[in-house]
Amino acid sequence: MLEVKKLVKRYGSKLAVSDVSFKVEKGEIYGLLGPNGAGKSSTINIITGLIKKDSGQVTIGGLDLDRELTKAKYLLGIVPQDLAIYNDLTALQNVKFFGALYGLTGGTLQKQALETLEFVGLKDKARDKVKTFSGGMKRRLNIACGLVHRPQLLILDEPTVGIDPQSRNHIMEAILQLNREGMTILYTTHYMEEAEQLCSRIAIMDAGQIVAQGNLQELRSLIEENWYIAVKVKGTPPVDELSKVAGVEKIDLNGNALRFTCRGKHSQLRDILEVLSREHTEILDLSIDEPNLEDVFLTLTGKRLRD
Amino acid sequence: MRSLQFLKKEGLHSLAAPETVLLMLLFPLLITWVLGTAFSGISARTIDLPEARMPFVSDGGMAAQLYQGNSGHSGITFEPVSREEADSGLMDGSLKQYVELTDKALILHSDDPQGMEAMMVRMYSNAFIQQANLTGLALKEGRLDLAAPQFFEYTRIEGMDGRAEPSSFGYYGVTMLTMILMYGSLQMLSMLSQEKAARTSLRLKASPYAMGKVFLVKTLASCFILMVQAAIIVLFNHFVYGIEYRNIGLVLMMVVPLAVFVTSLGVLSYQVFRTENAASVFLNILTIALVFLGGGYMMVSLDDSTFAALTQFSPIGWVNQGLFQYIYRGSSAPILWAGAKLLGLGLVMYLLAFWLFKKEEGSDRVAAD
Repeated sequence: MLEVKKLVKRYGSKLAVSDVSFKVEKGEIYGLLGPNGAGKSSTINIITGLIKKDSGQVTIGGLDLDRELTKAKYLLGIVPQDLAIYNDLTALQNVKFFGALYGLTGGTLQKQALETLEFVGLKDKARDKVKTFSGGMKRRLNIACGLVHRPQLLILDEPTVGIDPQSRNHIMEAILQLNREGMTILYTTHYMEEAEQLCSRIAIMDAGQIVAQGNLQELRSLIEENWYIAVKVKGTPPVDELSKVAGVEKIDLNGNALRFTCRGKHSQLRDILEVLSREHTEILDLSIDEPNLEDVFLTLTGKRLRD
Repeated sequence: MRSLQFLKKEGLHSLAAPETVLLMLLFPLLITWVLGTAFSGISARTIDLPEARMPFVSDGGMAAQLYQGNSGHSGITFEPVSREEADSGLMDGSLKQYVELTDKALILHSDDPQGMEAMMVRMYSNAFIQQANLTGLALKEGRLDLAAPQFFEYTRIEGMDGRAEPSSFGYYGVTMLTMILMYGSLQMLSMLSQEKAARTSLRLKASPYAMGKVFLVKTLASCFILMVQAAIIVLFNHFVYGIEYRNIGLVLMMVVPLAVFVTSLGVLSYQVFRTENAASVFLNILTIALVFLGGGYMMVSLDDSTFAALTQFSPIGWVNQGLFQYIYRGSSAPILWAGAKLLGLGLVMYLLAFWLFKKEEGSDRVAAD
C-alpha cells in the first residue's frame, strides 16, 4: 500500500530524515515510534505531499508521488497532529466540506458524513458548532474529517496528544475497528503503549533514522538478554547498595518503586533480595517484567522516548 | 462542484460571525448619517418647501385660467374664493392674504408680505408675468415655437458655476461606500489567515483540490461578499437617506473592479508579510491613507483642483471621482477608466501573490504553516 525508499530530507544543514525505508502492507497498522524531533512528522509531510523530499521515492497504492501526486492524494486520508477543523462551523459542515474536497457530492456526501460522525460518536452533535465541543470531541472530529472519503491509507499523526483517557480509548477502538474493516493505517506516536496495543509492525525512529523495525516480538528480541525486576518497598530504598549488585545495568527510581534493568542470566534477583534484607527494607511488591518498547528504544538509542 | 462547496463554506464563515457583518454594514451607514448631517450646512441640499394654499379671486378669464393651471410646478394650490369672502376674511382675520387677478392687474393682498407663502406667490407671479410677456412677444414676432408656456422645476442643486454637486449625504454615500470596500482587503487577509490559524491549510494542501483553486475561490468569495455588502449599503442609502445614484445597478457594477483590487491587495499582503498582524497593520495604514487622499473624510468640490491632484495618488480617489462624475454629471468615462486601472493593478497583484505562493509550494515553510 505504501512504500518509502531511501527517503532523505534536509532543513538547511540539519538532516531531518536520513535514508528512511519502510513498507506498509495493505490492511496492516504500521507504527512510526519515536520522540519529538525524530523525523516522524517530516516523513509524514513528505508522504502527504506537503513538503518536497531531497531524494528517495514514495509510492502509494503503486502510484509514484513524483509523477502522480494528485491521484495518490485521493487514496490518502490524513489526521494531522494539531486539530485542523473550523470552530465556527458545525461538525457536519466540517466533515462535509472536507469530504467535498475529495470529490464527494450530494446524497453520497451527506450519507458518508453522517456515517463517519456516527463512527466517531458525534452523530448527536452533528449540528452543533465545534467551538462548543470538548477537547476529546474535537480530536474525534479531527479524525472524522480525515475519514469521510473512505481513504485506502489513513495517516494518523499523534492523534491522541493531550486528550482525556475516555476519548483516547474511543479513538483507539475506532482505529482498530477501521483496521478490521480493511483500512491500512500509518500511525505515528511517541506513546509506546499505543504502538504496542495497535500496531502489527513498528519502526523505531531516532534522529531522522529508522533504528529498528518489525513486530513487537522481533523488536523485543533485539534486547532479549535484558530482563527487568520491579520492586516496591516500604520507606527509602537503599539505592547505593543495590547499584553494586553484579549484572544490574540500571536502576530507575520512582518514589519507593524501583525498576532494575538486568543483563545476562546471573543471580541478580537473589542478590537484590539479600541487599534489601540486610538493609531491613520491607518489600511490598515484586515482579519480573518483559522488555517493552521503551526498553527497546532506550537500549537502542540511549534515550528515553519522552526525553 | 468542489469550488461551490468552498464558496458555501466561506459564506458560512461570514454568517457564523453576524456581528462582524453587521458592523461592516452599520459603520458606513452611521458615518454617512453623522458626516452627512454635520456637513449639510456647507453643502447644497434640497430644501423641501411647504405646500402653500392661497385664496384666489379672479374673473375666470383666459389669464386667470393659465395662471391657475400652470401653478402645479410652483408648489402653490390656488383655491377660488369670491371677492366678498376674501375681503371679509381679511377683515375678520381668518385670511392673511389672497391673490386677485383681473384683465389689468395681478394683485397680492397680504397682511404678511415677507412670509413664505407670499414670497412663493411673488416668485411664481414674476415667472408667470415674464412667461406671459415672452409669449406675447413671440406671437408678435410670429415665433409660434416659442409661444407655448414653459415652466420648469424651480429648484435644483447647483454649484457656483451652475454645475451639479453632491449634497453632503450624496458625497458620503459614495465615499463611505468606497471606504468600506477598501476594508475588504482585511477581510481577504482574514479569510486566508483563518486557514493557517485553524491549521486547516494542512488538510487543504494534502487534499487533491489544487491550492491555486483555493486562492481563486477565496478571492471570488471575498469579492461576492463585498458586493453584497455594497448592494445593501447603496440600497439603504437610497431608500432611507434619499441619496441619488443615477442608476444603482450600474453604480454597483462600477465598484466591482474596486472589490477585485482590494481582494488582490489582501492576497498579496498575506503572501508578502506572512503574518496576519503585520499585514493587518500595513493594510490599515494604507486604507486610511488612500481614503484620505481620495477625499473620503472631508468634503471637497468635484471641481477643486487640489482634490483632483490628490486623487491621482489614490485608487479610492479614482473611484470616488469617477462615481461623482457619473452620478452628478452623467459622464461615465472617468469611472470606466478607473475600473480599467483597478482591474489591471488587481490582476498584477494577484499574479504576483500566486507566483509567490507557487514558489514556496512544497517548501519547508509550507509544513511550518
